[in-house]
Amino acid sequence: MVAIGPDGMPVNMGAITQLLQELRIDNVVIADIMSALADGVDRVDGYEPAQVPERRFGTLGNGAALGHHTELARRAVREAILTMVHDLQHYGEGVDTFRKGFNVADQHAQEDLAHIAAEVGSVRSATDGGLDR
Amino acid sequence: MTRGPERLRLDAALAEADEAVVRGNGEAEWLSATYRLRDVSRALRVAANAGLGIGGQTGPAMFKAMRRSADHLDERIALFNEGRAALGSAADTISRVREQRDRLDTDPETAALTDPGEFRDDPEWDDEKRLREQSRHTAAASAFADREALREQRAREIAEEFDRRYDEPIAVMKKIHGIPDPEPETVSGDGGAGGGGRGSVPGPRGAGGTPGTGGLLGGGPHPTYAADPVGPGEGTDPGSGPGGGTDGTTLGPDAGDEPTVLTTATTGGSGGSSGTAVGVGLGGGALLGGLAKGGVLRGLTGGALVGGQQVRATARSQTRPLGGLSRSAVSGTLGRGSVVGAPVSGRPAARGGVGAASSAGRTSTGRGTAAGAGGRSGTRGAGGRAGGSPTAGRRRDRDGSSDHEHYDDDGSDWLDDEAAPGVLG
Repeated sequence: MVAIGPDGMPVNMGAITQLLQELRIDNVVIADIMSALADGVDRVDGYEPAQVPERRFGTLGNGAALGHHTELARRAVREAILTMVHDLQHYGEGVDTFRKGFNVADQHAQEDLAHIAAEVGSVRSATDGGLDR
Repeated sequence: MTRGPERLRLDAALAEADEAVVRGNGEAEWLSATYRLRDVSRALRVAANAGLGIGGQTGPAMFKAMRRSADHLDERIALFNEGRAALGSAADTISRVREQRDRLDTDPETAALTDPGEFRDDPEWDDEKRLREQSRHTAAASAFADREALREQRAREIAEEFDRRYDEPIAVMKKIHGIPDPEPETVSGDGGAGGGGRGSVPGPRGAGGTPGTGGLLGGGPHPTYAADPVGPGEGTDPGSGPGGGTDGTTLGPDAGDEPTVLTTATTGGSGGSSGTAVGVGLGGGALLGGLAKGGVLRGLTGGALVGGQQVRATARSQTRPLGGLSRSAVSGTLGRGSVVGAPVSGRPAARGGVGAASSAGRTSTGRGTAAGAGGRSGTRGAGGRAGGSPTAGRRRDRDGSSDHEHYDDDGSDWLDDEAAPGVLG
């Protein structure tokens, strides 16, 4: 469907309608994404591998060294998990922001369409039947 | 049963070692970590695939970014899995060494012999008897000495094997934490007063062997890490004396109670800045993929494509730019908004002004700026101005690429631009 705008140019209302439908679909998709990200966070949030006391590797030179490096590596794992949880949460926040942005756009688009429709109506009225007659 | 210094040293090392703890707290826990991380990787891939459903440019960008994060995470998982295997290997080593040590006492070829002690003469023995007893004692003493030497040699070999088998696990752990070894100091001696090395006699630890003071820099060819003091009579650890230097990264023996925060975390700096990266990716992506490219923002007032058709603007000043995203709606995510809204085509003052002021539609370039996401309540911040002003163009010039390119490269905008999250980016 093509309507005529106040400046006499066509406005593709069908395309706009399609876009608005896509917005609804996106919300479902985004919910899936949010769910998957939340699952990921739940799986590792608060988890860290237990410590192995350094002396449990023995007290020879390399035993102490292995204990030391194992502890450093364990902390690297812990940091990685913490960072990942943080990043996943940011992913989620970003997706949520994305969704909100869409909602705002959707709302504004609806209002603008109503406004344009009113203008189109006034043009039709002023031209005694409308340009699409 | 007598025990020489090598044997005592080996016993002391094994007395502290505990393969069950290494396996339970180490290998099993790391395995659990890798399982959990694999679940996260799978979740990321699910999210990535779902992200494709968004379409536009945001969907593929989201897919790429999340898939790439999952790939990076898989690499980490593989590395952590090596750590798990290393801990399993270490536990096996302890068990094997313990068995070998115990076998020294049970194997007839290495079992301890009874010390014949001093030869004791008996006045009632005649000369022949005395000579025979002396000969027997000499043989027994010789056999005892030989056996003790053999046991000491075996104990030393076992200890060396014990140490050597840790080389690979140490290398794996180093690879995981990524902290380089400190430069060895050349001024120190080779072990210090407290460390006797293999030649040290059993007994209390040397004076220099205080916990945590030894370190990576023993002055010897191999860095020796400090160990807690062993109890009196348990022998000494080589290189643990005062001659051992200190190492900035070496954890004291009690460090486990107060974990040191690693400032050189291999995961890289993500922290708060990762939020910016993600925010840009999503906020910007939302604007670009969902609105600007989708046509909503370009339509109606923007004189741009709507549903693939080029139409002229219809309500320039009368209507607020459609699909405006107020700054608050994407708070914190518009750091690169002006870039996102930068001109995509040759049009000046282009369409995708993210957060563009609502007044932008009334400017002389109104047709172009109308597509910018104008805040509902008037002018917005810098991001808003950029969309409808030449600034947008300048931003683009500075970046050297269009907004399209920002999201079309490899999806890394989500993570890599500002501060790639260490794990996911």
